[in-house]
Amino acid sequence: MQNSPYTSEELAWLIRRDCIEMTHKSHASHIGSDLSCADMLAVLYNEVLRIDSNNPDWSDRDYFLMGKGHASAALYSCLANVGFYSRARLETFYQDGSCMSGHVTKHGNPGIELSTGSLGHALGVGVGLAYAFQKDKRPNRVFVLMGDGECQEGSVYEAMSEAARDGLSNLVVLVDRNFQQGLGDSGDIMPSNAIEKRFLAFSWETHVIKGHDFRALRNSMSLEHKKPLCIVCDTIKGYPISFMMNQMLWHYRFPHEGNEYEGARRELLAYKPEELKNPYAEEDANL
Amino acid sequence: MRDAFVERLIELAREDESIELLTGDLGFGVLRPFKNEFPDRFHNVGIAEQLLIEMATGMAMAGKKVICYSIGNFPVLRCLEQIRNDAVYSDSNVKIVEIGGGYTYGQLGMSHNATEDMAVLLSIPGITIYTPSDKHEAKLVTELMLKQQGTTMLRLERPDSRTIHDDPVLGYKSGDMIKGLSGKGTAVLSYGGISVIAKEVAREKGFAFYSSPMLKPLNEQTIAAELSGYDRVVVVEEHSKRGGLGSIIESMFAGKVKHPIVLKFGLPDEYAPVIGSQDYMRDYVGLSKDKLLEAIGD
Repeated sequence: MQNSPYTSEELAWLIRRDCIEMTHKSHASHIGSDLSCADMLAVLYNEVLRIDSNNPDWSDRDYFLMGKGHASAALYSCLANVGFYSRARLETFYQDGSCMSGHVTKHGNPGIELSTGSLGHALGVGVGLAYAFQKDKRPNRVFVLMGDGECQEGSVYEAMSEAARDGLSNLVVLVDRNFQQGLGDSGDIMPSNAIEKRFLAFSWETHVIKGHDFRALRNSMSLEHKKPLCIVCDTIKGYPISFMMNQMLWHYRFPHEGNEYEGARRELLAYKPEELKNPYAEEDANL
Repeated sequence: MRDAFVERLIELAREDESIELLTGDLGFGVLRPFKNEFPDRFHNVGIAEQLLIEMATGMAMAGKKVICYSIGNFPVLRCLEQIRNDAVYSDSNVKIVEIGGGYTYGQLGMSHNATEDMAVLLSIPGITIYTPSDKHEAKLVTELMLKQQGTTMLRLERPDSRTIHDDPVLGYKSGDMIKGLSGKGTAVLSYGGISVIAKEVAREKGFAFYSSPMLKPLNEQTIAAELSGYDRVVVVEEHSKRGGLGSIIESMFAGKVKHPIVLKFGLPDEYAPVIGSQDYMRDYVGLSKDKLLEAIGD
């Protein structure tokens, strides 16, 4: 199954390139968070979710909830490239009068199921969806993407407990463990390996994978599971831009005109899948 | 009031299979009739109010109408952000039911007193708030609540044999106040169980009396026009004077040159240093019949 005209590797590249453009033009934060989850989103949307971009309200669709709502640019780009709306809409990101807010909103944006931004809400809502689908024997599955910092919110544990108790085998959590958060390394605040230990302790089926490894991503997301499934994806904040990777600064900073914007684009070009037509070919020609 | 709600809920649940009930580990005995009849539609999420509202939002997104049952402040303040961001913003059929408006649980102390709940919720765009005064209004609004699309809040108190209506309420138009007594000069307005006292006060004084089974949205133009026929409007509420019905009435008249004098009777802007029964606490803050009779004057 492939939901877009692209391979997942190509889709991930487009998401990254769009995010650099969107955050640069709008002076918006969170490029580091966008880049860390781009591969996860690409595989999920391209190969895993049962969705129909021509019919976003299809009753049997899978649901995706973006817990880390600050990575909105990545999700907006992903949905545009999968065909829920035109790529031109991405130019409205962060602009006055636009629907494309800096944190994910469903209003005015087809394909988005839940508005988020305050951390720790999506898993509980996902549990409610999965509970109702299981109860009514409906085929829909529910996927929730959370950040590792987000796993510090208490509400996450209320929802983890409930999911295990209800045996929600139609629920999958993807944790984008990029090891950084707003004010420091997440490992300084909560031991990094606490996430998988906690999900295991709450009786979830839990796996840890490399979050930029496409094979690992697709294999883990297609695992059969009888319990709720948690896939902890070890990622790199800012990946693969050398000066952004693992740098706290890039949680907030946008790629400024000059070395940052040009450098990010130049470095990303080196990763472009050969067959993919770069929609920014003209702008990137002189790099 | 509480039992009337459960009775009506069960009747409606027989007709509408999408109705589900979640509780935050409260409702011992009260919810048993629902659980007995609809065991598959009853679920205790445990002591987890954030999950209560999040899960209800998810279930509502999957097509359910979900009652979220808890007491006092718990289903409002503990999970306020979930109400705002998840339930209301996605226009989900989440039906919050709070037992214990005002000093219903006076002896249990400040933690259990719902005395600012209306102020907080009234400021949230799009939520519908029901505030019945007796069992008849409770039955009426239970039905309205389940027919209303979107997130709603129902503020109830424990069973009380006293009523302000002798019979079931018929012909109610959503957003209106209900005129319970005619009178001249002064109109007394109230909601919740304290309405029984407010109505007695109005009767003894020869004032008009209105109950407000809803606080939001209200048919403000109609209500303002009706109240403009009085010299004084007296609001009696078992809630903070800041941000409740009294404040709504004041806002209705804001900017108008001529309007009735508005007197507000409610809780002061401080927590009581004592506890007590609902009657005791009402008296403590000046909401007993005797104190109201004296304070309102003629």
